[in-house]
Amino acid sequence: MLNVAPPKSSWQAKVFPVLTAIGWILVMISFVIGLSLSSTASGYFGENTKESRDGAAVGDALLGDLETLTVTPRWLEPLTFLGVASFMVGIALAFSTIPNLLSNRGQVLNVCFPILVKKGE
Amino acid sequence: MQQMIGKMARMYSMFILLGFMIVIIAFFVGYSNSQTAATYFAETKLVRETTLMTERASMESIGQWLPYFKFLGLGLILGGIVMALRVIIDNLKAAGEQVMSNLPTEKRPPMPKPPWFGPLMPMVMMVGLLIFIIALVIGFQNASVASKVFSNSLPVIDEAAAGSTLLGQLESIHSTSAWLIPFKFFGIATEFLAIVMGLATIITILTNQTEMIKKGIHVARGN
Repeated sequence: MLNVAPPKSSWQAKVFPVLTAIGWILVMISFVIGLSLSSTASGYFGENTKESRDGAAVGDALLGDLETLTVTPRWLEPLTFLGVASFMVGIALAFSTIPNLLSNRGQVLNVCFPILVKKGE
Repeated sequence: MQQMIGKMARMYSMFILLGFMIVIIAFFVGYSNSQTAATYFAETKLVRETTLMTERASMESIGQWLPYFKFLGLGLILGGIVMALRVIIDNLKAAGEQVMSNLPTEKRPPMPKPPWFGPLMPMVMMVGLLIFIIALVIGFQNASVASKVFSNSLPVIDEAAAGSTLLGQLESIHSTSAWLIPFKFFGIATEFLAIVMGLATIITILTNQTEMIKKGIHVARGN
């Protein structure tokens, strides 16, 4: 048998599926929160005139809705980008495993070639 | 089916070109929209809110569909990358089969099965594109509603009574935008998932092929 060790399982190969899963989960969470925001926006804008929205007092549910609608997107968008970034880092790590595999293939071919040449002689 | 997908995948450059053109068009539309905004904000608040309704309607409606149009362009570029990965996978498989065909059939080691997610990759990519198309269609619907709402002067919009059509339209714009923005990122995530599937398939094939070469040479040496 050939005396070439198979490539060591790199840490990148172990981590990239995890990052992909994290990315997927974060983007899904942000989508679900977006759906819930949609229902809050529907209630806030659909059932109240501008006068009642503007006149909402401290502690009023309407003011709470306004707070939700203005505060949530400020962290929701960075969270979504975090999910997208996790995917991108995962992709970069997946790419970084390929040179190792190609290098191992090169070593295997390096051992194989003299055998092929000898057989051809 | 897989053969047809393989043939289609060779058109990846067209997808990338189309996506890039869409992003360029989006840039010019955005620039033109910025000029409308420049005209709009050059006027006083009173003039803006009572007479420049056409400009406001144009700005608001373009703002409703343009982001989704840009994302469709990005989606097509990512789709093109997925298709290019598929071409690499097909070529790697074909090369592997060709090399192994040099061994006698009875001594040929069995070809390893492709990973389960390999054939799913094009389907996931198509789902991603479908998400972008759906988001754009809804964006156009929102743009049409925004155009109707903002063709009214701001005092009229502000005085919209509960249960009025105007308030209903305003509600529709706000509530749709709240979920449509994360939805487009869901599309991006789907495209990225397809890319990860493609890369993982390539990694599996490369690993298997090196093992096959070792086995093949072992068989040849035994001859």
